[in-house]
Amino acid sequence: MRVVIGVAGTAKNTGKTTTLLAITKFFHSKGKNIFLTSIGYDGEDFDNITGLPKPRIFVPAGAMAASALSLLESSDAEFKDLKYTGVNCALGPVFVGIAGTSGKVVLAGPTNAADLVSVIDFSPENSAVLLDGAFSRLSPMVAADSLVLATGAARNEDPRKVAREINAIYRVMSLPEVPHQNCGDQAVAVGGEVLRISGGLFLPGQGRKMLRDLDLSRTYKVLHVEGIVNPSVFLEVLDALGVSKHILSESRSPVLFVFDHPIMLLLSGNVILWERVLDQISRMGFAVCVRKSINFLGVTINPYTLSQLENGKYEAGQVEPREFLDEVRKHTQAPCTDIVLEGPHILYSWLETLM
Amino acid sequence: MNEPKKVLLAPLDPVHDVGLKLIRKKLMDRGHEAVLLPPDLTPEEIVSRALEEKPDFIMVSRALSYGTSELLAKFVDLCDAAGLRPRTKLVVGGLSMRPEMAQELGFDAGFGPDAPAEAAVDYVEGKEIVSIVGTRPRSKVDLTQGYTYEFSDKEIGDLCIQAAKQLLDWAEERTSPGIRRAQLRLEMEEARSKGRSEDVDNLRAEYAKICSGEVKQWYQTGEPVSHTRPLTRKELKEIELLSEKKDHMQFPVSQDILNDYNVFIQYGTGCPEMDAYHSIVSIAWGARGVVHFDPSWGARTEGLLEQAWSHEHDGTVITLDNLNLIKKALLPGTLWQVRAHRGLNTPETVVLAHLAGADLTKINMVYGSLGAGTDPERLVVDGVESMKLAARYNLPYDVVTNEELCGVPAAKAFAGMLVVATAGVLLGGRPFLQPLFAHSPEAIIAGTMDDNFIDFNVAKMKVLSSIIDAPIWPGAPVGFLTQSQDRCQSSVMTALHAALALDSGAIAVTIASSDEAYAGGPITVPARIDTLKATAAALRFFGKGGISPTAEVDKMACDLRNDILDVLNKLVARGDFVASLYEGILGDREDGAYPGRAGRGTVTLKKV
Repeated sequence: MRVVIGVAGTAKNTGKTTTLLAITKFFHSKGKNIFLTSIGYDGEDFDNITGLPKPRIFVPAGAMAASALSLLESSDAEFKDLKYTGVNCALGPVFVGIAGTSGKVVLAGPTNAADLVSVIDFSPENSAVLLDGAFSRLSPMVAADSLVLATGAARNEDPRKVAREINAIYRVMSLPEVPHQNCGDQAVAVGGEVLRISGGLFLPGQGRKMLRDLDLSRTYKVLHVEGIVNPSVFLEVLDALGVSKHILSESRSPVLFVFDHPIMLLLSGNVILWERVLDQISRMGFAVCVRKSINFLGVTINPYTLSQLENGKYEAGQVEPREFLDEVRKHTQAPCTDIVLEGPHILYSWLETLM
Repeated sequence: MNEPKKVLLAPLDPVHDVGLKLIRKKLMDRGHEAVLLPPDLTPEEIVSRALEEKPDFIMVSRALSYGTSELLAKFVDLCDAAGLRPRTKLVVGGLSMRPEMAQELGFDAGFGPDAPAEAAVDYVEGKEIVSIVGTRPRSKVDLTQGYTYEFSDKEIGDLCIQAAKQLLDWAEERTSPGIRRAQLRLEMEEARSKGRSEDVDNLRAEYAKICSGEVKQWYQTGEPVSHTRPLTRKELKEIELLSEKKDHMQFPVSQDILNDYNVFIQYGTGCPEMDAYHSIVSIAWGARGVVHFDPSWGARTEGLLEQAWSHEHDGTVITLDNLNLIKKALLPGTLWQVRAHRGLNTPETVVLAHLAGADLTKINMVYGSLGAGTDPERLVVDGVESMKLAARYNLPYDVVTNEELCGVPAAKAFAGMLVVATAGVLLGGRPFLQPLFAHSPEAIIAGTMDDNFIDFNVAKMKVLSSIIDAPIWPGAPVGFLTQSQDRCQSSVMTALHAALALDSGAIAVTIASSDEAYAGGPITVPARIDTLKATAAALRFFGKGGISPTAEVDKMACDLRNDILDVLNKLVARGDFVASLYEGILGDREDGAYPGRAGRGTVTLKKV
């Protein structure tokens, strides 16, 4: 069985690479074929922006990697059986290859979801496909079945604020999948019509405009928003619904909100607002689900901090790891671990569920 | 004509959109549709416009920082999730943008400050982007080609020839331990290459006998010379790795302007691995050539070491192994000079330069004797032998006049340089003239350069080129006594001197790093890039505009020529080049020249 796991971050320097390496080690020890790629650029000696040292990416012999050809060729892992994936990135054509020996590699792979799906097709059955994130980028991770989130003091040195963000993300990531993939079927099942909003809701005013354009003679049971949704904009919709109850269902029977994917809710606006949005939906007696969900495994917490000095250079530091982790844990329900402080066993326990 | 494309140009920046305006013009000139959005839209607003416009490309510009990089990453995510990709290619440009950064952010392409606007247009048209990657020369040039070495100034020429012949005749009858070791080294390496280990051992034993100090001790006991240690396996491997990877390097196109000139840098960190890295970085940033600097004790000690050594202080130990290691970092078009000019191992260094495949060397008797501590008699004997070897190995060499730094007037220094160069030509060699391009002590005291730094330097160039048709390579490096501990100031001074020299007809120029003049520690790689960047910028700035001296320059040149003539007349009248060195005709104690003592009494008459 093939598992596709994404490692995404809430910001740069939150420990994505370290988490990726630990996951690689786990699956290698389980005898899985490893297939690595990155939606950005990772594995270099020094960070492109801060100039600070970075953890290198080591691949075991026999592992596959998808990266720009020039980077596979200059790796000391001696990649062989190189094949063009048909995908190009900013550093040239993306190839897949098999590491002839263990060694370091710089990963630069497909940077969008469609290309990522194409590249994943090159992974063998029974492989663990590991997708390395970049910055706080999430959208290509819709290609993943499971997700580990990396966050920490680089995102915010206040552990309560980190926990608050984790809670919002966790809640969004935990939204259930719609029982019937066809939203129309779902609407029929509850005796109403589908209101389909295409193009997303991510600009201020877009929600109110959408409601103004509605055909008020119809009764909607399912509201399906396709694409990106910004929580502030969606609040406009909810606020309008609160005073215009007839717009959806005069009978006030349960109405279902459907979104495409949890990740579509995390790309625009302040993520933390989703807690308020979801609470409001719940108070209104409506339900929420997504067309396709993702298996959210947990959160790795990194105490690493970064500050910019007066001369423009960056300086690395860290908050007290134990205190930071404990405080985050205290304020979130999401599973968390610091894999450097606690070792990888908690992370491994999440991964065991995929075996 | 390519199929017209639609390009949305989005300055994701509060104010700056000049780059995008330029690209818009180029795109429209080539028949494409370009829509320039107003500055400072949010990523969501740009995505919304893109959904309406359905462009083939979105080009955003943004200066990069830690915070703005997250903004750009968010923009890419929004484009992806909004379904714009892969139909719409995302391109980012900005002052600190590089392809690696663009990739990390998730863009399809990235253009930095080195990329011309045409590169973005080429990308839109699906052409291979070659113009944003710089190139470095792949083949070597002969910097002496086309020079006749004929004297235009017959009066001075006749005197130089007379003095040079006297010098050669005198040296012909003499020899030294330095000359013998050069012969032994050559024989040793030949025997080694043929696997005659017993011969190597015998020659090595004979070699050791005519060494001195710690070098002799190393040959006899194996105890390393102070402040040196053998290179580690790891260091040797890293040089090998560098050698393998150098062909995959990409060069900044903004530095391509230096391809049209011959700018040399000096390395000599003490460690061959560091030298290799300093060299390749400098070459990447446009250095056409690199110059090997050895430790000062190497000039005062009889004998050179063998094997690969790291030296704790400045100057990299000259051994064949060290040279061969450093050579691995050089590109096929890199010119490589191994200096042999100032000490007790001059002939052997020329031999090693030849064996290692160097392109150039450096031989000078006058500066080495009057400013660098070597006995004049010894250095003249060794210098003549070195010039013979250089001619045999087809190695051009420069004749430096750094004694000016001691305070010796340019006229005396130039007279010495001209005589030595003439001797070199008579031996079949191809010397460069190397005037000091600096705020020379003579000028500081006389106030000659109080008004500007241009006239006196240009006067030197004018005089030399009016005397003889020979290549001139100022240095080494240019800008002495004008640079300070401030890296910006230092870079500016270096760049202006380099531009002035090249504008005044120099075939090549040697520059220092921006921290070299006042290094409080090891010379750093960024400081090398400082001056290479500054020199490229200065050459770009002056272009064909040139630099004009004041009317004073002609008088200065005339005075200098007459002073050179006076010195040469005295030299020829004395009839003894070596005696002239001791007696101060080419620089006396009052000037700041002191005949050196290293190797005194070691010259012997050849056995008939």
